[in-house]
Amino acid sequence: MAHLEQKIRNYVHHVDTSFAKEVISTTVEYYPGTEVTYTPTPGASKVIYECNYQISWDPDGLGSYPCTRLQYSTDNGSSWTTISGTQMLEGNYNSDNDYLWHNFMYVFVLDSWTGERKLRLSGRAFGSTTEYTIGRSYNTHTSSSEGDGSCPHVTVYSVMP
Amino acid sequence: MSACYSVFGDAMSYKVDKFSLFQAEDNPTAQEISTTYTELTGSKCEIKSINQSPKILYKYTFLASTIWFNGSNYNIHFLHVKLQKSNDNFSSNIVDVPNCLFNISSDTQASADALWKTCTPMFVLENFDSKYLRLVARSYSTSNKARLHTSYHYDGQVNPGNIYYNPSLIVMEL
Repeated sequence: MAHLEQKIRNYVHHVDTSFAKEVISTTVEYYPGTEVTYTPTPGASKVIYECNYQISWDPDGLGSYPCTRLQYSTDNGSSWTTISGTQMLEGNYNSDNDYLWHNFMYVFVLDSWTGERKLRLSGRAFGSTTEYTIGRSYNTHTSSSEGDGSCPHVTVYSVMP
Repeated sequence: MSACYSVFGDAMSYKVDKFSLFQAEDNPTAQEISTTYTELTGSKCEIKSINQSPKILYKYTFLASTIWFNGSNYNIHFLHVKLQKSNDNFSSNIVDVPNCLFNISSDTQASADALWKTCTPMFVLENFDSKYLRLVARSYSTSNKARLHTSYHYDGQVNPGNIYYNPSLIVMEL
């Protein structure tokens, strides 16, 4: 039990304003705007990675099946490892075109580590008929058009024991 | 509560001991939620505050999935979820927390409208007067069940196994 300022340390926030929407197909790809380089506070017991982002149905109106995971890299992004317990299939299916947009909010409670790591979300569509677009928005435009929506918003912090 | 005083005796700052909890349930067994209220794995906590009537932030995240049978045959899910409190670890004292309940569902009007989605409810409880908190859920009917925490489809494979979204809980005294 401690004061919250003693318990929670080393906040990092990441909002990538150069973000551009991206279609995700059936190869595992980096979700743009979700990568953070982070070194936990020495002695921390947990690291919390939180991310809020959106997808749209485009290009497959019947459904979107994002298969998402949190990954880390200890070699500055040359190779990536999926963290157990951070994988999920989300999205929707309908026998008719459904054209759904989704907003996702993840909270990952991770065991801490020593030294610097990169963290990121990545994913792929379940199949070629369930692709989706990260960060595509419609309602921010006054005409019948679409464009970039909100970029992913990420926060990471250390929790002391 | 303890106070720090300067040599002149006036209060400089205060340090208030506050409760907090950060936990994840690793690789949980899938829960199939039917028509009986069931505790969501990893959602229960004991509030170990030394303060009277603390203000508590409770945030929990989990994955809820429509159950697929075959082809376009789905169990369209419709869940009632609510926050409960207790003074005896939910042995006999079980109280629904007012204003802390919600539904999640896929399109309940369509015959084949499946949804898989993480859900991250957050509640702020003023003047908390109990010792334990948890989330419970049930389905609207036996035709509206949901599966939690695991994914039956992933990366192009059906039933790949060991695909978990760990349900996680953050509780902070504010």
